[in-house]
Amino acid sequence: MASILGKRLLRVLLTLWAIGSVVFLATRLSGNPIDFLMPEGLDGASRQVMIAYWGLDRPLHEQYWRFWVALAQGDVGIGLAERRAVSTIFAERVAHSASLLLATLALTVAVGVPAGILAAIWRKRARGSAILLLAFLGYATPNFVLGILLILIFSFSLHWLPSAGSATLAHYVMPTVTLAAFFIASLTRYTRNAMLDVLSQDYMRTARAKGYSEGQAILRHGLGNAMIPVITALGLQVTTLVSGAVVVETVFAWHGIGDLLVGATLSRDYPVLQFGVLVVAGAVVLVNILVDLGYAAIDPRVRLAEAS
Amino acid sequence: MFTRRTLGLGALAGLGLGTLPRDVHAATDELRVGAQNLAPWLDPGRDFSNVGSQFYWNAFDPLIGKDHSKAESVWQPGLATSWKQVSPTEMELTLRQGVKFHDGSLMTAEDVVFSIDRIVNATFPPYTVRQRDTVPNMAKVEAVGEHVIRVTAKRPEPLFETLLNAQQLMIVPKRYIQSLGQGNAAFEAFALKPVGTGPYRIAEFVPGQRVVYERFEDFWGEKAPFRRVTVRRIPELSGRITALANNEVDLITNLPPDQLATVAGNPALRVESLVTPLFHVVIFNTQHEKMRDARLRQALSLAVDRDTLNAALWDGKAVVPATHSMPQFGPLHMPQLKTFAFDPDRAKALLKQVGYNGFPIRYDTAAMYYTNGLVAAQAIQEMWGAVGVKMELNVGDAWTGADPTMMARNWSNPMYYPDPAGCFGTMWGPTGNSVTEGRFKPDAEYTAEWDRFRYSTELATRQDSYGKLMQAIANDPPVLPLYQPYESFAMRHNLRWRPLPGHIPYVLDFRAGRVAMG
Repeated sequence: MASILGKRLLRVLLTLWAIGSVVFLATRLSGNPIDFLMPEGLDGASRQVMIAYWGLDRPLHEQYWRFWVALAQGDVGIGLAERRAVSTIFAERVAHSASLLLATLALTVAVGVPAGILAAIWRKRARGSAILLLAFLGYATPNFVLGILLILIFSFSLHWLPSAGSATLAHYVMPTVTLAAFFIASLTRYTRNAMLDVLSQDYMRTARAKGYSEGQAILRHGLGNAMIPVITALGLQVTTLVSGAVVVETVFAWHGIGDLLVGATLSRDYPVLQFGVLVVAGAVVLVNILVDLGYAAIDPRVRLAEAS
Repeated sequence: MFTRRTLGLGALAGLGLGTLPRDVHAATDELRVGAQNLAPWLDPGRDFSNVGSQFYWNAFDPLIGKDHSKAESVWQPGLATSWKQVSPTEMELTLRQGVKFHDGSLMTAEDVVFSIDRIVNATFPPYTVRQRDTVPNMAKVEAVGEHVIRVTAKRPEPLFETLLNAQQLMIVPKRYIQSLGQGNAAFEAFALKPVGTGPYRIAEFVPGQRVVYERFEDFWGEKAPFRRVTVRRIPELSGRITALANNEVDLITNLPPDQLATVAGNPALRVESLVTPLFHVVIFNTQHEKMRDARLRQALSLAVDRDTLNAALWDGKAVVPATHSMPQFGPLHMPQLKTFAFDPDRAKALLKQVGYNGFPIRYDTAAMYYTNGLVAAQAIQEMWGAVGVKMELNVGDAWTGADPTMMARNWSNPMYYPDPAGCFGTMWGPTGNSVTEGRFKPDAEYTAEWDRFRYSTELATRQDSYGKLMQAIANDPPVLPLYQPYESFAMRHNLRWRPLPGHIPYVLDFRAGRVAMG
């Protein structure tokens, strides 16, 4: 396990360095924050005053070097728009996004895995087809369309749920469902396919021959084996989850990291954007490591292969 | 892009807003507002933005007040109870006594001097910028008595009242600010924990997310009508309309013209609108090799049928100006000057004189930054086409005003303070942005006329000079003002509030007498 982690850590650092460098350059190529953060009509000398105030008058290589040195010292910089520590800005919002993502993940697994198993078991029955049809709908509906549809029904018509903000638990219902729908659909399909694969394996036949009921066979031998591709799929979709959150946060006026990054992109707030992309990239890398570790935990063959 | 009102508004309309019942009343001592944008920090002195301007009037006061129900400037006592211009360059003001800041401290002449001096003799870069664009003519401010201060200008100043009423010179507490940190760090900290003298104190401010005001019981004037006012950001238009219809908020900002009918169809809601004191404009790069000939730019200007744009895009509710002028300029509002017109025949004749050979003229616009900006650009493309000019529409986010290859583009020209100097001058004065970015080069005659206009203390001279400046602009156009847009706010039917013409654009005024619930 330690050797897996060691190799991974080096790869993580290289990945983050590459991503950080690309973001650093790309943001600077895409425009100057002065054109987005300052009101119209700023004269030339005033532009220079503000550019110097933001520290953007220094040569690019110096800015680049300072960015990494500061980051290594734990200083993630000052946001250009809010003029507050980027870490404070993120701290204020990270709980909003993290809680939404965790709720989504929990809902996805709680619904998607059983639905996929049932769809596999009922593969030749109408119930199984119905699950697949629902999954297809969930997969095909863009999340902002679903979000607005839910708002229309549950806020606009029925007045059951609040449509904007994140103040209470009730605020979580629609954004979570909106964000989870696609992933539930996707996970249902993955689980179903993996399960179908597993159901036809010899060891399942052996389990049944040993006198296990279908349910026992699935629980004891089927589920674990079927989960390996499912975990891969989940890991791969974390990036999609983050980009989905950006849209959902906008639709539901949810002031999280996605909303922050959209704003920082539109205003070219370099420090916020750089750190934000690194945080998201770091989260994706971390999830991938967890997925790998998950393999090792579930499948002894992975442990053995890594050890050798 | 997903962040705009394309998201399902048709669906909202289709559901039939008008049929939805809802008669839940919020507590009448609390007002809840959904705003499209929220400020990243709050300091009236350093702010010049349309986003920030929404928030200051509730929590801060200027020395000289104003009757905001009127477009023209009618001055009233503010934190100064009286004032007198003692020479062309000096004004003395007597301060109101017993005024308290939200931190409980008493306002003194020292606070007032500090507030103005931090801008006039700025050391903090954001204040330096405001010094340059708002009070470049102010020299110093000093206390000349326990309750009297004197403001001194470098040259004769016709705009003392106007400037002392400006948001940038609202009064802030010296000792409180200095307690927040050393030097400029104190100003940075203040912008996150602002304290003023207004009828509401800012109880909570989360940058970009929400501002919570609470009634300030020690306010020197009439007490605020609400115990609490919460403004939160709801960036998506459909989200704002839903939150309003769902009674999550009482008032929403930034309702575009094509949604007025939708909201007005719901009996639980109503709309209030105002012609905004800013112009949407087309600007020309007078220094571009192919745009140098003034007759070409005149032709481009004459080819635009602004009334048709207004009718088609703003339901006829925007205001198309005959010259660069608006009622807020008071005695300098001169609609009798007719320097911009629609005359396609003359445009064609001028193009012939110039020998225009069909080369494309690039017109830059952002996709969504200005309401109707892109649609207007497409319509202008047709109008130019009708006189034989080929427009190459260039849609992109970047500001191209300083780009020497820019030929024409759209822009907006807000009124920062109620005088042509605070609107036209910011962009086309001899030190304005258009000059420093290199797309407008006024000659010596224009500069001299500007000087006469800006610093003359005789009204007739200022009027005469502004007329001459407008004629110069018509003769060699760097700009065509299209219209003053029509801005709307939607609210619950039981809220009595409207935007007032005496404010700068977008101010949310929730003071006594300006808003009521029930």
